[in-house]
Amino acid sequence: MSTIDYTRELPVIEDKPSLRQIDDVIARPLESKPDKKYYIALSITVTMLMIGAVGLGLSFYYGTGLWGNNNPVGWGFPIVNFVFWVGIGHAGTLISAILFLFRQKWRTGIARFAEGMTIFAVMTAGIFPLIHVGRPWLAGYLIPYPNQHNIWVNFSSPLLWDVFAVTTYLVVSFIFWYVGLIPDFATLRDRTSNKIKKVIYSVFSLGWRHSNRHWQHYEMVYLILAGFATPLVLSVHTIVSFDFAVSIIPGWHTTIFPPYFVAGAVFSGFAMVQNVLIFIRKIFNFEHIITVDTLDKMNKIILLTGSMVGYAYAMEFFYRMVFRCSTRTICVYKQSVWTLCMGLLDNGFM
Amino acid sequence: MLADIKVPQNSETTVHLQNNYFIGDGKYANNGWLQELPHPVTKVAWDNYAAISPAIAKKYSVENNDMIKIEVNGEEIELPVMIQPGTAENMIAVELGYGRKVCGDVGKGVGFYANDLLDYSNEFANYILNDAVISKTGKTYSLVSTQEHHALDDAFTKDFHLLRGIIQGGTLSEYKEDPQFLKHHKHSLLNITAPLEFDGVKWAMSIDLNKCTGCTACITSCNVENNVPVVGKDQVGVGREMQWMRIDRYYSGTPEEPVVSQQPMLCQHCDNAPCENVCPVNATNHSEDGLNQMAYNRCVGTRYCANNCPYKVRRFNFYNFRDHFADAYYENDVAALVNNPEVTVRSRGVMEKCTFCVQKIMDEREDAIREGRNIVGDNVKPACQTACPADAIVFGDVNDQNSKIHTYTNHELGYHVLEELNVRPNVTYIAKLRNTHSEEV
Repeated sequence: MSTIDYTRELPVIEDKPSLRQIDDVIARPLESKPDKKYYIALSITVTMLMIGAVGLGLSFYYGTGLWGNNNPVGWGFPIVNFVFWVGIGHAGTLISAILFLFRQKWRTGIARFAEGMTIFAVMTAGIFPLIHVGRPWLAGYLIPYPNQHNIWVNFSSPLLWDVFAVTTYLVVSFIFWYVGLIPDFATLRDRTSNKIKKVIYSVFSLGWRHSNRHWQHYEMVYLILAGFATPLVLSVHTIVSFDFAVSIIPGWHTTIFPPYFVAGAVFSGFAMVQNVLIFIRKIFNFEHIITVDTLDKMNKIILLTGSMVGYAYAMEFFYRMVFRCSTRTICVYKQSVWTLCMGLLDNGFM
Repeated sequence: MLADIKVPQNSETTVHLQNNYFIGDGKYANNGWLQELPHPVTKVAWDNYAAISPAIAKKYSVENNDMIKIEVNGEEIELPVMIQPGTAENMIAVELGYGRKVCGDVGKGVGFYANDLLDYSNEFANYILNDAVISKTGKTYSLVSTQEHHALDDAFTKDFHLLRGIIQGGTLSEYKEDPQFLKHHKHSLLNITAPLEFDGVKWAMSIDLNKCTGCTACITSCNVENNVPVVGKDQVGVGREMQWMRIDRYYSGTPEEPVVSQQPMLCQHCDNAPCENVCPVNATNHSEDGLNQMAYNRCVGTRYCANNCPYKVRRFNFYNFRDHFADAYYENDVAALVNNPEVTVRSRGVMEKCTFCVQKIMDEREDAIREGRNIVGDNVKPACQTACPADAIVFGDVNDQNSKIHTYTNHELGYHVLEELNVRPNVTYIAKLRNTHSEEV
């Protein structure tokens, strides 16, 4: 499929396979022994995971000093990663909730996967503030629980808003993902002959029988959850950006941050979905389920949000140029001009 | 006798050896507190160097941290370069006292041994050596400093401290003409919330920049009083020095004739403290007598407060600095005895900062209760104030109309740093008056 005909709406899957055929393809990774390609991919990711685990261990043992932060630069790599991973997670919700509300049928092939990625991305994001703080074993102080010290959390701190925003996001994403999975679990339950698997799938499928009544309720719940998750796509990263925008640091104290962060989140999230999707469709032989057309549509969203981020970068650059003469705060940013140029260039390539 | 002193005649370069400002001829080299103090002007800690003028640096095309070889009277020594604005042309200043081979854990091998250059042939002038030959070695070294060396000819950074009103001041004649001359540019700052009311005692500090010489005695005193750890050269190099106070040095003027401004900077105990409202766990908050307090036990170490501090006076324990040095310092049993029992020893992952010596305030409160009287602000003298030889630091209860601090806080030359942020700091700086008029006449 080298060229795409843009004049007609492509079907989600070519050749109109039957539901049975689709089930066969999708359930294959769970029902058969994985092949060599899978193990190669797994070994690469597990190696990366081990490197991360060693890094975490060292960080816990020696302290935050390993992260290279210092006095004026209190936040560095972990917070960058936190923002990045939370942002990555936005793609899943955007694909599954917003595209669902807009009746974009092409999302069906990738929605569940994108939601799964969202949950893992948010969990990864949760690790970083934990290792960023000086005393991770006291991170529970950020949760407003009644305690004998009679100290409450500080509700005026954007970091606390973060805690609420990200946990809400994780919970809603998880419920959304799980509700979507219920019929899938039922399908797997019906197909498997293994007793243990059958019990597990039965528990998770909550007695789903593919009845018309079930589907009607399911559709309604899914719609409500999609409506509930949609504002989160915008709100979560807005609140993450408040960490910076609400502070009084020159260069952070900027109103462009919330839209800039949200656009950047969708931008990088879609890119991440694609990064993984391209491998997955090869490894599990899903090329005809996750079609090039789907990837192409995602690319359009990447292009749009990428341009928005590019605009935000350009604005930052512009502010520095304009306000240089009047407020003289530019000197702080003199070195960052290069970084901005590189970001812009990088964006162009994407 | 004076005739015996060799007068430099057409000397290419002159080396001036001098005792180090902190460790003298090296006798205090094993004191971590002194080793870690940034030099009052260069802000370099843990090393000595060849301080050269920008002119020589240009001539030999060397930059900071380049190693140069100095040959004089048949002796030679290699030193890193530190370009020091205001150094006389053709003059190299080298500090002694470093590079001790026999010393304790702290001072051993710190810096470069420069005593080889000392000229014993001349009874009086063995510290001033003429006809030095210097050459570039091509090697580099890394000097650590606590403040960047702002390029004086950089259009971006030049006179930044004056433009933002961090250093304010004027001339004596300006002041004589109009004592209120600094106040004319002041704006009234708006608040959407009612300002905090401090009915009883309100602690405040004033620092007179006319008196401050930047000697850094206050920093040492603060370190000793408040159990501030010594972090070592590697950590100073990555900007993690723990000293609660610092003395900012700003240059203006030209590289040949720089005007140096010194400004002690410590927690300003702002009324609208930006650090307080960003702490998610309420570990830093305001006391009813105007102190910005840190609850170490509550601190999780998000470092948001340090980020949001416009004065950058908060210090974070990136490691447990008391066991960061596997072989030295705090491993010695006696090192623990140096700690002040009145002050908590902070562990890894905790933010800390100037407390206005809250332990001394508590002492005064106890005394007042015991003697059945009100707290007298002037009785509290923080460590920095007691150490200041010029009496530049004044501390006390600003609500006490008769106190010294009340006069200083309301002084016509008083200003707050970064006042436009409306954080309402409680440290008042008395602007420096320079007597430039007399020089002109």
